[in-house]
This record gives sequence, C-alpha cells and structure tokens, in this order.
Amino acid sequence: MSELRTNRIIPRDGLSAGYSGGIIQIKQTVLTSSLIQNIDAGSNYDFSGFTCVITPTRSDSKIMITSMLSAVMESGNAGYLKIKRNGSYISGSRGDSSGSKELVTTGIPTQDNDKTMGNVFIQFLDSPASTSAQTYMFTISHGDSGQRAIYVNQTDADTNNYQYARGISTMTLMEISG
Amino acid sequence: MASKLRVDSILPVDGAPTGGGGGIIQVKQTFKTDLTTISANGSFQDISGLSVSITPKFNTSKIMIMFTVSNGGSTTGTTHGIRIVRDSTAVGIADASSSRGRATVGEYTAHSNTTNNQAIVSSVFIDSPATTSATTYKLQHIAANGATAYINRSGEFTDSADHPVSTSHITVMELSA
Repeated sequence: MSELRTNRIIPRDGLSAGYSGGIIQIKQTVLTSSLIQNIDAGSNYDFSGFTCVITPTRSDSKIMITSMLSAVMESGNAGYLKIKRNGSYISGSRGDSSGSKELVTTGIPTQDNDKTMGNVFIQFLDSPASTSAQTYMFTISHGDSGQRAIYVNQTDADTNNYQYARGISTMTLMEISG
Repeated sequence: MASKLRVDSILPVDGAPTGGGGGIIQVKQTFKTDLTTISANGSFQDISGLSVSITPKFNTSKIMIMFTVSNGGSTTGTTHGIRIVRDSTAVGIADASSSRGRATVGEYTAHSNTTNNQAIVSSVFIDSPATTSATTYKLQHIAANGATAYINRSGEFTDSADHPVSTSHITVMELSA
C-alpha cells in the first residue's frame, strides 16, 4: 500500500494568487440531539454546544468551514447566524457595514407554522494563520423586539409522531493547503 | 506531460486527527436531473435516482456524503424529512425520540403558497463503513400519509419559465484515515 504523508499538497507549478491546494485533513462535529433556545432581543447566543476543533499542520493552511444547520426561528423577524473562531468573529465572514444594520454571515429561516424545519448552509474559507487548535462556533441572534426561540434539529410543534421529523446538524472543517 | 501522483492514502505527517480523516482519495457523484413524484405513506421511501456506490480502498477509510435535494410539496403544513441510508442501514440521523421520524434533515416548504415553492435541503456527513466492499449510499424521503413530494420541481408545475425544473445530487468522497 502506498501512503503519502504530507502537510502540503499544491499543483506542481505552485499556487496562483487566490488559489488553494489539496485537502490535508478533515474534522466533523455531528449534533444529533435537538435544542430549543430562547434569545432576547439584541442578544447574541453563542451556540457552545455545537463546535468543531481543528489543529492546522501549517500556518499558511486555510480552513474550509462547511456546515448544515437544521434550524428555524420562531415567528417574527429573521434569525441571523455569524461564525466565530476562538471566540471572535472572523474577518470577512460578515456583510459589509451598512448604517446600524447587524452584520451577519447568513440568515436563519423564520417558521411559516409550527411544522417548519429550516436548513441553513454555510461555507467559508478561513485563514487562521496558526498551528494551534482552532475552535469554530456559531453565534445566533434575531431582529425582533422581543424574545424569540430558535429550534435546532426539530420543529416548534415537535409532536410525537412520524410526521414531525427530527434532524441533525453538521459542521465540517477541512484543512486546505495554502 | 503533466505530473500525476498515484497514491492509496493521503495523511498529515503526524496522522489523521482523532475522529477525522485525511485527504480525499476518490470521489463519486450521482446527479439527478429528472423528476420524481413520491406519494408519502408515513414511512421512509427511496428517492429514485439518488443513490451512489463506492468501493473504499481501505476498511479504515471514512466516506463523506454530501447531498442536496430540491423538494416541492403538494400541501401546506407538511414536514418533509430526508435521511441517508448506507446499504440498508440509516446513518447520520437524529437521536431516537419516541415515534418521531429520525431524519438527516427536515424541511417544510416554508411559504404560505406552498405549492409554488421548492425547498432546498442539504447535508454533509462523514461515515465509517469499515469495509472494502461496494457500498451504496442512497437518500430516502418521509412525509405524512397522503402528502406528495415532488423532487426537482414545485408542487404547482405550470408550463412556464418561472416554474423551473431543478436538480439534486448525492456525492461521496473517500477520506484516508
């Protein structure tokens, strides 16, 4: 059996500006339990029960974050999601500044009724510039004036029969050669 | 001539991370462009054309499954669920919770005019099949008895450009581990 042990894979002629190379290692966190979390107006909820950690082998590596979050926000204003690395928002992972608007990575669908489940897809290429362990996490907020709940991996109704499915959420981190 | 590296396994110098994998060895995809109608019966049913087989090189390898399904519905107020099945075993599904369906992802065509909508559901899951035999991954759908799911189209399917036909896929990648 042939085995390539390496911490960097790039095209023979090197990487052009803006390009990345091959995948070195992959980690994944799978959340199979469900969660209801009330979030106050103007608050940011750190989803600390759903994190993924990767230790880059080289400081010039990039980390591709790919996540599918099964989540829906209680009726009202839209829900919002932001990415944190080691407790801080990642530069370039949120929208450009625009007055007083909250800057987020993406939205979380609001329920149409209590049978709604949402599916939020995120993919972002980060440059942590470190060989220390990197912890990625989501922060969730909403634009409503009152408290609103987020339902993760379940519907609001969550009635005990087959019509009310429960799902999973996954966060996958790939170290990509830089 | 272009350089080509043929190798069975790609790992970081110090080995794969605990619970994770290394580089990608091989990739397969099934891309579905046709339409499928599923008459839901309250049980998980195969989605025609959304299965893919892969033969891992090593029984230590992991398989990363990525999928997207475009799903229209016939009625409002129905939750649809999609799950991954490896051969005959569901993988990447929710914890057991009494009689509730255990899906990989659930969705509801979250629009008051449900039949005009296509919900797009996706997931990524890393499996450990522990085999070097051909392994088939497929997607199954569930919804309430009497509901109808339309794969790659909306429920209302007027013959006009604004009722598009869409696509779905399932992709598998073997990761060294």
